[in-house]
Amino acid sequence: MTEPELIIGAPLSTSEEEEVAQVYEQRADHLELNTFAQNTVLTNDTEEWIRALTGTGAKLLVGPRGCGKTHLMRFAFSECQDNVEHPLAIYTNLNRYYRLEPLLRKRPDAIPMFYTWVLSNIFVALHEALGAFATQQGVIIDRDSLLELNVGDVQDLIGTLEQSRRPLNNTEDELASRLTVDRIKAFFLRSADALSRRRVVLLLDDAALTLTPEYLSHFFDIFRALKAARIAPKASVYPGTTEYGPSFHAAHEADSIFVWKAVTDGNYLNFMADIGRKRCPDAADLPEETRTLLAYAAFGVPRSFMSLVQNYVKGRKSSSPATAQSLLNRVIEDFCSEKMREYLSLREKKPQLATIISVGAMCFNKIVSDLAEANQALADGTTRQIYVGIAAEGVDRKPYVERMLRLLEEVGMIYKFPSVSHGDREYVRYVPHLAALQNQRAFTRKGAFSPKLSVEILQRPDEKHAVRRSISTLLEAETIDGLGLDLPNCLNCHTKRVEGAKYCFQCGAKLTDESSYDRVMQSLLADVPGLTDWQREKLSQASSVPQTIGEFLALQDRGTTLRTIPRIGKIRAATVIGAVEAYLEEYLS
Amino acid sequence: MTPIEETLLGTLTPSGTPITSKLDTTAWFDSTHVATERSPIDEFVDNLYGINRLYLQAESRGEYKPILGSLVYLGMVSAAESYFRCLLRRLILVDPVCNNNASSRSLTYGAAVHHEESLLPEALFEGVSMASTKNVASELKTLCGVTQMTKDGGVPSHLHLLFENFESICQIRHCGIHRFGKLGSQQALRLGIKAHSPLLEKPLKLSVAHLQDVAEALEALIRGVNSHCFADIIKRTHTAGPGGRDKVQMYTEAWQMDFAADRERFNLYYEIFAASDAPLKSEPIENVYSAFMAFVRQYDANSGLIRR
Repeated sequence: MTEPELIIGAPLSTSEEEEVAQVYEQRADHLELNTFAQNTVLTNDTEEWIRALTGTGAKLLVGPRGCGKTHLMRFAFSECQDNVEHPLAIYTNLNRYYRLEPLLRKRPDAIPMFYTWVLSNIFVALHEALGAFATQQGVIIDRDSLLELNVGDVQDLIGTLEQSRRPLNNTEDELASRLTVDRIKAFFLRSADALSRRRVVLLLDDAALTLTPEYLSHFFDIFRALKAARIAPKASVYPGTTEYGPSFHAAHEADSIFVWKAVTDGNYLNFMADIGRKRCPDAADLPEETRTLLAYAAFGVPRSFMSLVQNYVKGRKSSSPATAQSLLNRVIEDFCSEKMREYLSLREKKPQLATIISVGAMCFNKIVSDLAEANQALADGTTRQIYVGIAAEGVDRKPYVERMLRLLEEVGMIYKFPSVSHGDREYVRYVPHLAALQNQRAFTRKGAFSPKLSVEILQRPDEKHAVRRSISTLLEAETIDGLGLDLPNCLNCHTKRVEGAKYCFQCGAKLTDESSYDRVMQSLLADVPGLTDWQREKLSQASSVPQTIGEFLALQDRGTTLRTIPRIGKIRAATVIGAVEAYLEEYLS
Repeated sequence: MTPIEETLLGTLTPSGTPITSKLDTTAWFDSTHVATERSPIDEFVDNLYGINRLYLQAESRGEYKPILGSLVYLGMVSAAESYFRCLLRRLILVDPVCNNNASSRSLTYGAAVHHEESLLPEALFEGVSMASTKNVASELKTLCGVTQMTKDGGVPSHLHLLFENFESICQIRHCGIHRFGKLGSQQALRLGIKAHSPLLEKPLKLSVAHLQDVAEALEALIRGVNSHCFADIIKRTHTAGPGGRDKVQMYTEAWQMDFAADRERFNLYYEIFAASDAPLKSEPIENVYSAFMAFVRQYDANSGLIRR
């Protein structure tokens, strides 16, 4: 994911960037394992979450991006490694799943290939974990004979599936046929025995597979099959995901552990303050009120908090520092635009949801402005108003409205709370992102901004009842009627397709979807966000540089190729490569 | 017994019209039909999409009934069966290895005397049902030498799920053909008796969504098998050709590594396997040929042979 500091504020020099990167590491998958203990906030909540990860039973770790799921899993891994009483932990990250998306559009055997890919990743992770645990315990284990299969071959198999996406050859097919759930489970137990560990926990990170629901249900087949008396699988998913496939009933098969800290929790500020102390020391230098407002603006997401602090600090250091007030406003405003941009970018990844996503943004903005208004009216009162209650009758059994709210929840724009009844009506309650409310000056008096008052309002108890709305008061009737999937017409006869149909009723041909992955690979290099106008112009004119992203990535030496363009040297080439990589990492995550 | 009683006893089921002549089955076929040059997969897709239009349009007119579904179902499986027959026949005519494997098979005298040469291989499978994974895998192995297929019905692991679905579809087809859709015990046993025992002697009741699932499963299988066989056989023409490292050399002709020179021979294979209709059509022959050449170069490089 592109870090917000690349976009906001004055550009930093390379050395400054490195310096900042050392202090703040926002993404846990980039953190070194040995820095985990000192970087991890262990409040009561987190201790409980970690126990859920190292304990028995299948668990789903639920939270939006950036709320610390990866961090918790990796911390649980190192805890297990350090304590012989703990189980053997195996950690793998499935965030590269999107590379297998084109298979779904082209190959009838995509699902078996996906099974092989998942089991291969687990095998490689087991191999790594076994090595790490054995070293830690000072035990000598011959991993190759214990695990039978050659780890290099399995890694190559993953590479083949992710990159060339061709059918497997005989040798690979033979290997794939040996990677079965039963065999993997046998390897788990064998490894645990070799390390004298009673149990195994399997930490499957980034398992939301949100862009390929076809794979998600099959993933949970594997998840369920891996569960055993001594084996506890744990998967991290996004909130709002409810469809885990026909054979996996989330409520029965696994406990859901919600790891997204709610801003309404009593110890919310302590939780965020701890994160500030452990993971971004600069937060201590900020005025207390600013720190508190930024902590609320982070809406329970540690990564957002670090990024907000970092941008504020950077703004203070810039050559023309703004007043503390306008700087705070700008940092929050930029953060909100970035957050909205991230949400709207889902439209490119899931074109069939484009309308639902756009309407979701309208709905969110309306909720925010209604709540802002309600709060402004309370400025001189004793309560705050951050809940909106949406009448359940307009949401339940309205699949597109439900889908719209789930998508907002998935990216962390709204936080869902248990429904409440009011009179004979039921209301689904949400709190929208607090940064958006702050940005709308919800916690101020009209015309005058005082951080002190904002903090005071934000710390007040909640209004007794939520602001009650129905979908029809949040959105225009026409907009609600227009909610639906954006499906392309039949590619063969151009007849409008019937929703849910697999074949065209007019010509009988298969209704196919274009691969979103392939589309991004075929898009123009010069269109990558983050390039300067000058770079765009040069890239689109140069005959020596490939025009599409896919071709560019296939180059052996991208730097040398870019340097064939006059006035592009090492540094500019590196920035172009960096922009392409950042774009892809965000796109594919 | 009176004549009336005699008639009554002998005519329990009165019949409306007397049959006056012997049926003329020759009139039932399209004698003007000329075997097309379309590939087996193109024919399959034509047939399947034609069947799709029947039930999808019936549904859009509000006229769909499960009985139409049962008939459509048989048609779909028949389209798949026909694909396998057609593929095997075309391969025997074109590929020396398949031709050689077929030469030891026996043929009925009648077929040998009456069939046109180009259709003769089809007579080889007249006694074989292609509505079974075991038979399909076995024929692809013994006649075409396709790797990862086995005589006893083993299939490449990446096609396993597709063949498993095919087998279920074929089992249900039995019920459709022989029992007007009611589930028999033999089929229930093969489909999984635990789940299916409550359904014994219950009739098929297929919805339009079920039929689309069946169509999709069959299309996926045929497309998967088609790609697998093409890649396997075309690679073999090199690895078992002059200079190849296979144990037995089965091809005498070598590839010239030049599209103009190789075009005719390559096209023989391409024509058998390529799908020419949108939306899921094959890449143009030039692209597929150049991918094959990339394979040849890589294969030769591994053996230390350098080609330009």
